[in-house]
Amino acid sequence: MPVDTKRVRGPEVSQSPSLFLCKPAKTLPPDGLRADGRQRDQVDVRPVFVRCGLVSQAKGSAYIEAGNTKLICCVYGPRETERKDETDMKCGRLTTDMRFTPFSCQERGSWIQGSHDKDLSLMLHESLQPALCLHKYPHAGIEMYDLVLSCSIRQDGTSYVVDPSYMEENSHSLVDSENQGGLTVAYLPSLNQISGLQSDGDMTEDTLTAGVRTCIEGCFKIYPVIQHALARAVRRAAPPPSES
Amino acid sequence: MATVQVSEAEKVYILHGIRDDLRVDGRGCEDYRHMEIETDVVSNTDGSSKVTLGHTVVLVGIKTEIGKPRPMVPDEGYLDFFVDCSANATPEFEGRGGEELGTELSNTLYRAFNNKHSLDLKSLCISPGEHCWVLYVDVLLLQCDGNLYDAISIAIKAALFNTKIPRVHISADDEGGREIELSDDPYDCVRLNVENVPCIVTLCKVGHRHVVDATLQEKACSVASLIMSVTHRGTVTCTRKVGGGSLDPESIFEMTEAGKRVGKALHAPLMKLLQQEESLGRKKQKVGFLS
Amino acid sequence: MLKSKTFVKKTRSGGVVKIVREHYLRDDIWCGSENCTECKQESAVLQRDACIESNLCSYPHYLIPDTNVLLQQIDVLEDPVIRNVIILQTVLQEVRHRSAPVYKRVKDMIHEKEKHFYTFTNEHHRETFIEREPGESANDCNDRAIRVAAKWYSQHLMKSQSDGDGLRVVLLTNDQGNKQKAEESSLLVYKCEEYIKSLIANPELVDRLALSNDDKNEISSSKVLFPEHLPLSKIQAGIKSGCFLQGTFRASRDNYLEATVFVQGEGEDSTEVLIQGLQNLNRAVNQDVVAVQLLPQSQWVAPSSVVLQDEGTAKDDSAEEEEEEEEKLKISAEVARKPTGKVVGIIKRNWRPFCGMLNVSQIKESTRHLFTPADRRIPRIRIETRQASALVGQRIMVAIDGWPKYSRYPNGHFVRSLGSAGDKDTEQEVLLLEHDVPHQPFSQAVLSFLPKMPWSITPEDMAKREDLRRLTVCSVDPPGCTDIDDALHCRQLDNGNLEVGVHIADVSHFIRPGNALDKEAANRGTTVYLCGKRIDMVPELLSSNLCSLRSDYILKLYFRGSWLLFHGFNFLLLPFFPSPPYVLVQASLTYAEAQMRIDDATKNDDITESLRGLNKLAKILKRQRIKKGALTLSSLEVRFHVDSETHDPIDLQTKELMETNSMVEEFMLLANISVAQKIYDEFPDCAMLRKHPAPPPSNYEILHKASKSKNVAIHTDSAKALADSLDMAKVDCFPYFNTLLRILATRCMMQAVYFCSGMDSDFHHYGLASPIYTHFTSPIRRYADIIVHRLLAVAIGADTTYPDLMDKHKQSALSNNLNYRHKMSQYAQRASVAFHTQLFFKSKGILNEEGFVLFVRKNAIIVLIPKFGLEGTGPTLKVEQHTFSIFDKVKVTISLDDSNIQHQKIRMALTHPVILGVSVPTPDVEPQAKKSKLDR
Repeated sequence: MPVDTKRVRGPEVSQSPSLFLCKPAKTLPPDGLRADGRQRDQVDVRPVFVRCGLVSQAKGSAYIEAGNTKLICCVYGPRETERKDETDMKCGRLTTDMRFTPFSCQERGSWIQGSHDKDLSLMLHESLQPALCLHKYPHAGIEMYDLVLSCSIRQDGTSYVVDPSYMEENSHSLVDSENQGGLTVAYLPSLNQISGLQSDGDMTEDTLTAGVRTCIEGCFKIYPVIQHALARAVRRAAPPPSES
Repeated sequence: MATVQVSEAEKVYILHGIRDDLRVDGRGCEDYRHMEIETDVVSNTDGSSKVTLGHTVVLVGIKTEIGKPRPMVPDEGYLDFFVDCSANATPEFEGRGGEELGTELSNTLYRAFNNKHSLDLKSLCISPGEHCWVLYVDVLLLQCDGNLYDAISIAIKAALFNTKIPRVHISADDEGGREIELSDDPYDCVRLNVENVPCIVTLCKVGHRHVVDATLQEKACSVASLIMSVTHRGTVTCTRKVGGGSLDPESIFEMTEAGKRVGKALHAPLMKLLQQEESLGRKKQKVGFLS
Repeated sequence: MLKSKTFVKKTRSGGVVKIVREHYLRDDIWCGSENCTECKQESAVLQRDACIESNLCSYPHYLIPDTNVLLQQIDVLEDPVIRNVIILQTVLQEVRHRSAPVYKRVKDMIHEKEKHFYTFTNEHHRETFIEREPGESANDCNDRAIRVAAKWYSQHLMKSQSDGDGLRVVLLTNDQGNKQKAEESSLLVYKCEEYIKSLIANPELVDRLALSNDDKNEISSSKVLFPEHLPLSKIQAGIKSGCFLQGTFRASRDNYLEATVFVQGEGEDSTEVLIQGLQNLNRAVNQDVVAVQLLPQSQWVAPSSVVLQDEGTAKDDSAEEEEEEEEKLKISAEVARKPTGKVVGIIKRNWRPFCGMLNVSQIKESTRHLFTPADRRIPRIRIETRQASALVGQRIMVAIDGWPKYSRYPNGHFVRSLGSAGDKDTEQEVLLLEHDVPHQPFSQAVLSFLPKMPWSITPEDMAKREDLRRLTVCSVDPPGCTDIDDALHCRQLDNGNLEVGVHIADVSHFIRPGNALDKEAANRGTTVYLCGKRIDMVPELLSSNLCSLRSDYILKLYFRGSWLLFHGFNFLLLPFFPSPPYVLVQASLTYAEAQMRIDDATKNDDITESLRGLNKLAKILKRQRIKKGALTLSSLEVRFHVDSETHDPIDLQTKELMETNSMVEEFMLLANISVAQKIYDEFPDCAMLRKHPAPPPSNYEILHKASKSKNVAIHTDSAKALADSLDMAKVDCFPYFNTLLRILATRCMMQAVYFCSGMDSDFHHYGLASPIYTHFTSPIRRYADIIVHRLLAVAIGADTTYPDLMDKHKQSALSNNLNYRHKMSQYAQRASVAFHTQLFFKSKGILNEEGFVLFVRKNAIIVLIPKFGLEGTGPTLKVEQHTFSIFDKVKVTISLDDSNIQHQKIRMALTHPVILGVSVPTPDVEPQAKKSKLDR
C-alpha cells in the first residue's frame, strides 16, 4: 500500500494500548471449568462451522469458524510450475501460504509475512504433503489419500485442555510446574497416520505420548463434520443424476 | 537440506541394512558420528563455539548487547536467533536460496528455547522495563552433511556456556537518569547456567526403524523425521515432524522414547567436556579452523 | 608472536561493545645500553659508565622511575644531573593519560641527547610482556609490568658484565606495596626521596622534591579548613542541570579575600559572580576553571572597596584573623549587591611556575617557608627548602603541587632561582615571565630561514618591482630607533598637485608563511619595548638591518605605498601598484631633527621641502579627522634619561609631542585606513582588521563625576560630542584641568582589538572615528601587519595565497593570540616603566612635589604627579575626616618604600592640605613650599 505522504504520522514509537490496560487476573485455576464452559481433561472440542465453495474465483475454497477463529482457504491450480530448473519433474508440487490479516490479532500485525506466518505455512505444507498423491500428477484432478485433520491441546501441569482458545494458549500460568506446553497433531484418520506434529513448552515424554493420543481422539470428533460439509458442497455443485 | 541423488538400488541397500541395525558407515541406529567441539574460537564475540559432526561444520557466535526488554515481559532479557546458510556449505544456498532453510531453523530454535526453564531470562534483566541483555545468537553453516539440527543445538549449548557477559551496575545520577557503569576488569563477568539448555535430536524414519544422526544418503531414503529437543532431565521442550511423509502414531511413540533416551545421554558427557576445556584456561591450545 | 588484548567499552548510546586488539610481540627490541653485547643496536643511548655520586648506589646504575614518581618529581628529573634513565612504555602511556603538560616535558627530556633518557617498549618485548591476571586491578598490572621489566633489565645487563661490580638497575617508586614486592623479587628499589637525598654531590636537588601525599603527617593541624571539592562527575551533572555555573576564576588584585568568576553566557555576554571569603574561595587559584554555586539572594554582597593584602603568618590556625577581615567586607548597601556564590569544585587547574620571593619563616630550624608570588592575585605558597638562607633576597620560581583541604596555603616546590631581587636584569626577567612574553633567543630552526648575508636585491626582484629610486624618501622616528618600518616622500607634480607616498618595509618578502620563522613571529605577536631593552618579534638581522629603512645607501625592498594625490584640500587615493617598489632612503631623521629642519627657513633642499609639504598636508588631514569626531586623548608617557655607564635612570621626563610626531601619525593612519578598505573589499571574509568598540555609558561614570565636580559638562553620546566637549572643557586658573580630564577619558576607553572580518560585523573604530581600520604600517614589530601585507599582496596580484590565510577561523584564532600578546606587552611595558621609576626614586631620596587627586577610594586617594607622570596610592593616605574631591590640588612627598622588595612602592605622604594625624611635615630639603590654595 503506498504511503500517504499527506497524513500526519504519529510518534515513531507506539505501543498498543492493551499493554497499559490493567490486566484482570484471567488465568483460571488449574482445576475447574474453562472460560467458555467446556470441560478440562476431556476431549471437548469447540463446535465448528464449515462451508465450501465460497470463493468463486478459486478452484476450491473453504471457510471455517471455530469459536472466534475465522479462516478462509483457497486452492488454485494445478498450474504450470514457474521454476523450470526443478529436477523433480516426475511429480507435482504443493505450495502453501498462510497469512494473518493485520486486524486479526490483538495487536495490529504487519502486511509483510512475518516469521510466525512463515512457520505456520511450513507446518501446513508438511502436514498436507503426505495426503496428496503427487506422484499421480500431471493428470487432472488432485487425488488425496484422505482428509487431513488436526487438533491441539495445551498442557498445564497435570491437566490439559483440548482445542485451547487464544487466552488459554497464551496465558502464562502462575504456577511454575513441570509439564507445561502445547501440542498440535495433524492426522489422517482413515490411514491412521500422523502427518504433522509440533509441540513446544516443557513436557515429559509420557505427557507427550498421552497428548498425542488425546489429539487423535479430537480429530475423530471433527471428522464427520468435515465429511458432511464436503459432501454437501459436492452435491450442490454437481447434483447426482437421480435428482436432476 | 542439501539433496543427494540416491538410486533405487542404493535405497534398498540402506533400508535393509538399517533393518538389521547396521548402517552404511558401520554405526548402530542410535549412534552419533565423531563429534568435535571447540569454544572461544572467535575473539570478537562474547561467546562462540565450533562443532564438527562428521562432515557437518557449524559455527556459533553470541554477542551480548544492552537493549530494551519486550513490552509484555519487562523483567526478562531475550535471545535472538539467526541462522545463516552460507553458500560455503552447498551451492544451493547461494544468494537467497538458503534463506528458507535458515528461517525454518531459526523458528525451531525459538520454539526450543521458548520456555521458562531453558535459560534463566530474568538474570538477563538489568533494570526492569528499561535495560536488559539481549543475546544475539548467530549460527553459520560452514559445511552441510546432514543432521543440522543436532549440530546447531550442541554448538549453541557450548557457545552459551562460553559466553561471558560483562558485569554492569546501574547507578542513578542526580536527575534520576540512569547511568550504566562497566567494571574495568576484563575478567569480571557473568556466566550463564546452561544446565537446562536442551539439545535437539533428529530421528529419521527409514523403513520401519528410525536412526539418529542420519547422513544425507540416509535422509534421502527416509520419508519423515522427528525433531525433538530434550533437556538433561529428560523433558521434551519441542517436537516437530519434518518431511513430506506421514508417520504412524506408534512409531512416533517409539521415536519419542528413543529420542529421549539418546538426548538425555548426550548432556552429561557434553557438560563434562565443556568444563574440562574451560579448566584448561589459558594453556588451551587453540586449534581453530585449520584442523 | 601474536597476542590479543580484549576489553569492554561503553558506547555513547549507552550500549556495551567488546573490543579486541591485536598485539604483537617482538624479540628484536634493544635495551639501549652501551654496555650490552647482546642486542644488535645501532646507537646506544644509555651510557656505559652511568655514574652519579650517591651514597646509596656507589656503582654505575640506570634508573627506572614509576608513573607517580615521573608525574610528581618531574622538576627533579629535569635537572641536568639526572641522566641515564629508562622510561618504560607503560609508564609513558600512563603519564600521557594523566597529564599532558608533564608528558610533553618528558618527551622533551627524552629528545635531549645529553640527558641519555631511553624509552623502552616493554609491552611489545616478548620477555617483558605480561597479561592481566583475573582479579588484578589495572594499577597492579602496571606495577607488575614495571617490576618485570626492571628484573629483565638487571638480568640482561648482568649477562654482558665481565667484572663483578657492573651496571645495575634501580627502580624508583613511592608506592609501598610495589616497593615491597620488588624487594621480594630481589630488585634494587628505593623511594624517590631517599634516592635524591643520597645524591650528596647535589644537595639542591632535594629542594626540588615535590611533597608527596605520604609526607603530610608532619602537618600538625588536621583541622579541615576548606569544604571538600566535589568530584568531576557531580560537577558535570550539576552544570547540566543548572545548579552550578562554570567559569574562569579571577582573583582580585587588591583584596585577597575576594574574587570574581566570569561565567560565559550565551553568545558574548558573561555574567560575573562575586566570591568573598576564604571558605567560599575554596582553594581556587587565579585562572582556574571552576564550578560555582550561587548563594541565595539574601547572602549577596557588594564588592568591597577596601584594599586588603594578605599579611598573615604561615600558621594554619590564623583563621580567626581572616574572619575578622571578612567581617569588615560584609558591610555594604543593598543597591551595590552583586550575585555572589561559592566555589564547589575545580574543573581545570591552570597552574604555572610563579616568580616571587621567599618569606623566611621565623622559626630557625624550620625548612618550611612561605613564598610570596610577584603577582598579587596568586596566594602565597608553602615550600620546603634547605637553602632558605641562600634564597633570601633572590627572585625565585616556584610551582604549586597541590592544595589540600586542611592547609591554609597551597604546597609547592622550588624550581629555580632567577637572581637577586632588585637587580635590573632579574627584575626584567621576572617581568617578562610574569607577563608571558616569549623572550628566549631565536632557535636554530628559526634562524635558518634568514637570508644569507651579504644580501642585496636580486635582478629578478628588480625586474618585478618598480624602480622608485628617483624619489626623495625619508623616515622620521624616535631617537635611537633601529627598527624603522615606515618612510614618507612628498613632491610637487607639474600640475600643481602634491604627490605623497607612504613606504612600508616589505617584511613579508623575507618571512614566508608557514616556516619556523613565521610561526615564531606569530607566537610572539609583537615587539615588546621595555625601558632600555627591546624583545624583538623577528630576529635582529631582519628587524634592524634588512627590513629596516635606514639610510645607508642600500636599496631596500618596499611594500606598497599608498599613493595620495593632493589637489587643493582633497586627496585622491591612487590605486595600488601591481608590484611593490624598491627605493632608496635618503635620510633617517629623528622627530626633533625633522622639526628643526622644517622650522629652519634657510634649508631648502629636497628633503626639507618634502617635509614641509608633508607637514602642511598632515595638518589638513588632522582637521578633517577632528571634524569627523576623532578623539585626542592624553596619557602620561615618560622618558628616562639613562646614565650611559651605569644604565641607571638619571632623570625622567614626560614625552613631549612635536608637530612631526603628529605628521607621521596622520599619514600612517591614512595608510592604515585605505589598506583596510582595500583588503576588506577583496576579502570580506578573512581580512584582519582592528576595531575599537564604543565604551558603554557606564564606563563614563568617573568622567562625568569628575567633570561635574568642576561644573563642566561633558557629552558622551558620540565620539564627536565627546571630542568637542573635551575641547571646550576649561576651568579658570586651572590650566592642567583639560589634560587631567583627557587622562580620565582615556581610562574610560575600551581596548582596541584585532578581529577577523568574517567573524564579526562591527568594524567601527571609535577613537579614530573611522568605519574601518587595520594595522599595516609596522610589520617589523607587529605580526598583524605582516598578515595585512600578505592579504594586500594577494589583492594586487603580487603574491599567492596560502590556505591558512583564507581560513577565517584560523585568522580569528590568530587575532585572539595577537590581542593577548599585545595586552601582555602593554602590561610588561608599564611594569618596566614602573620599575625604572622606582629605581630612579631610590637614588633621589625624598622629593616634594605638587599633584592632583585623581580618584577617591574609601581609605586612600590616588594622586597624580604631572611632572613625573606618576600615580601613587598607599595606605598611608588614609582619609577619614577630610573630604577630598577629584582634581583637588595637593602637595606630597615622594619617596621609595622598599620595605617589601617585591612590591616596592612609591610612597606619597600628604604635606598639604594639613590634616591631623595624616599629613607629614614638609621636609626642609626643597624650599619650594608655596602656599597653594585648595581649589573648590
